[in-house]
Amino acid sequence: MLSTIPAPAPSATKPVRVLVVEGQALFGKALCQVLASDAEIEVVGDADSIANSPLRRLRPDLIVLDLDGHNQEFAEAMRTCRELAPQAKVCVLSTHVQPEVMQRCLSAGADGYVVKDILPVELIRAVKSVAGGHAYVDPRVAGGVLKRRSNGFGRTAQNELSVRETEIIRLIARGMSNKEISAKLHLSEKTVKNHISRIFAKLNITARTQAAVHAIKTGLA
Amino acid sequence: MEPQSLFVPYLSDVLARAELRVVRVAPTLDVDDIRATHPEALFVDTDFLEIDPADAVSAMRAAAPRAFICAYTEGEGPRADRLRFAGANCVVSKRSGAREITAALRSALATAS
Repeated sequence: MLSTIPAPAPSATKPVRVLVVEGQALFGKALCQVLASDAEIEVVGDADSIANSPLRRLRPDLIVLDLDGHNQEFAEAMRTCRELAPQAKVCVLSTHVQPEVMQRCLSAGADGYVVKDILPVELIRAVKSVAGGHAYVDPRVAGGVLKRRSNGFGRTAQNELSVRETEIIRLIARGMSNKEISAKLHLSEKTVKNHISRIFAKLNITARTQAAVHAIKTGLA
Repeated sequence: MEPQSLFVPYLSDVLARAELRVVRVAPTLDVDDIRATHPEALFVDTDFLEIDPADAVSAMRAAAPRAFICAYTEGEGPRADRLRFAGANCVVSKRSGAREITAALRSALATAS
């Protein structure tokens, strides 16, 4: 005798409302397509930058935020997210597998860190995980952090650049003078100099060019 | 050549609009594979290469002298010029939308043929 298998009951939970912020137009559309293929995710919008996205109106549960493809400073983008959509989790999308870059994002307040060559099914899992209040970090990057710790480089946290120092080193790498950096970040030149001294001490370097090289090598610039 | 697997289906659709049919997707540069496959066109995302993008395009050009090569890149200005100099027929910015990319590819393909 045949028994009928009842159809699964529709999910009682509301879909996760996702906003995609991706500077690369085509990749952004591809992301939306992948995310929208999951019934538990609703893509509420996409934009090429945080500045161009109606965050307040859309009220997303989660923002998929591209680290590389827009001109705004990452820390500034994070601040905007927190101000205009305080309820939203932020999952960063990046091309970088360096632990330093991930740590910088997490320090700035990101809830997840995904590398762009992630498989579609894994991206969906990451988004749901972060939306559910869990952290998600690309296993390769997390593995790098653990390896460094096991190699006795635990002091990295102490030498890690702060969000402000990271902003400044990126601007140094762009060839900006102290005066230009102070104008851009609305800081006095003296404060900028103090930050730069701390950057030099933390990285054990003595010249701006070395700072610029460090920024490029670690994916900060 | 595109390691972002979540991007491949959408990208393939866009390439199809320029009458480019994707026959193989490679996550990394494999010159031997290019020689064996004899593609008429190569599309390369230059931002995930482990070597200098211009060197990669040169290697692709050497492996497939007659193939149409399109470099998809964040780089603009001199960086894009280096890719052209290395042998790319077309350099497409990642800032471009589907229509712009399709138009650029069609135009470059018409010039190359």
